[in-house]
Amino acid sequence: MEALKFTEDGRVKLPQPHELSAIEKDDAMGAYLMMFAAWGAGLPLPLLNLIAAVIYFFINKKQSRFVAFHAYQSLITQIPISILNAGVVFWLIAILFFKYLSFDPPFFIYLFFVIFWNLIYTIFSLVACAKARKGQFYYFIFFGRIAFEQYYGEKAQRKKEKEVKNIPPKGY
Amino acid sequence: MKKALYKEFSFLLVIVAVTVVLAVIMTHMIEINQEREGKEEKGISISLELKLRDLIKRQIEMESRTVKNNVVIDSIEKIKARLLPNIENNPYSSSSSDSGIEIMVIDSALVNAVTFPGGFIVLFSGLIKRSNNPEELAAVIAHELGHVINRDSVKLLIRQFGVALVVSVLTGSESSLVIEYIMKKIINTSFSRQQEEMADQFAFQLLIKSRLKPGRLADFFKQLQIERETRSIKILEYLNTHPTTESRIEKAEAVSKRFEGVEETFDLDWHAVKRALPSIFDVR
Repeated sequence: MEALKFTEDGRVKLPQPHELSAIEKDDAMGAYLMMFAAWGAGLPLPLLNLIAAVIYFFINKKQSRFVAFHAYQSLITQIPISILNAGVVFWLIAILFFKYLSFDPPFFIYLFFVIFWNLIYTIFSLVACAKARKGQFYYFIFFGRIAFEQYYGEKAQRKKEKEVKNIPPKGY
Repeated sequence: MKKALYKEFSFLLVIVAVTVVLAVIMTHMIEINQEREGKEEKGISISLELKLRDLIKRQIEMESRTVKNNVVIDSIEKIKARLLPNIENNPYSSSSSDSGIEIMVIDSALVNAVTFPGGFIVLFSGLIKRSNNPEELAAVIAHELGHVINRDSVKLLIRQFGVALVVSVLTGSESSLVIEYIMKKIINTSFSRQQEEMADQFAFQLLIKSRLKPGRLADFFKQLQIERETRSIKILEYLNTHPTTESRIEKAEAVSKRFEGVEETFDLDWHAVKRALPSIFDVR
């Protein structure tokens, strides 16, 4: 991963769209598309979607800060939505297989809100996807700041890149 | 940075809180609505219900041919005698000897059973013909008795017309057209899925208390489903007004598996009962 750059007044310098390669833009976009790809691939279980996001993040996190930022943001925003969706799946399993719950109004109210939040999340993900493709940053509320802090914030600035030196074998 | 982070986190928390509050309000509103329906149902007294029952009965007798054959009537009475003593909290019972529940059989090729207000059940002869044994018919009657005890047909009327209208019709006009309209509304409108499930639960308990297998209900449903699938019979009205899902059949079978003891079958010659039914309108 590339080192952080700073402006003259000591502030972190973000990569601008023209400085990013097409591959970086595509990989950043892929972080958000991964969710839709996981749906398309027939992974209805929300936790599997999350696993797909985790794998994508670990594959791409060392590539560049821009890609890592988007992959991390996509991953952490999927956590709450996956938990909500998992709630529906477990509730349905309880109804259909164990039969100690039934299709009562609370279930449908929960389902309504889960669908509502999934729609909202999908819309924001598509916007983030389009922005990433153009080489722009897009910050989800709260989660965007966490992801930014991770790769461009004070924590990232303090973290020094380990310098790897090639040395001859011991005793030489 | 941290300040902005906390601010956005607080904003997210507010959104989550609003969602939870909205969900609680929606659940509460549904409960209030259900309670109100319950109260409205109390707004129609049993005596008013009985009046409606008499009017509907008179209308049915005018429009349909009732089955009065002794063999059929006796068999229905035998089933009633087994089931009715095991019913608790019967709102129509005026004394220990009188359950206040009436079962009428009408001549119709339709496979159907309808519960009217006032503890009045109408069995269509087509339904008796499709049943394999008296135990299956007893299971269907037990299910209908569930609707009777839960006053589902009154709830249905209130849902369709509102309590004020029902009361005004019952206390004022006795026009046969109005009664016919109410009657057809009850026949053609399904009870809610929840009402059906509650009637099923009631039937299972009643059948067990009456020393009959709860799975008899599932047997009847399954047979109707097979007939519908294989012969596409359009007279299976019972399946339209009683949407039979796999889960209902499975539940009946599950309860039946837990049924311990020996089933006491009815001492009835079922073929003789079926033969005693009028056959002029048969559709085969």
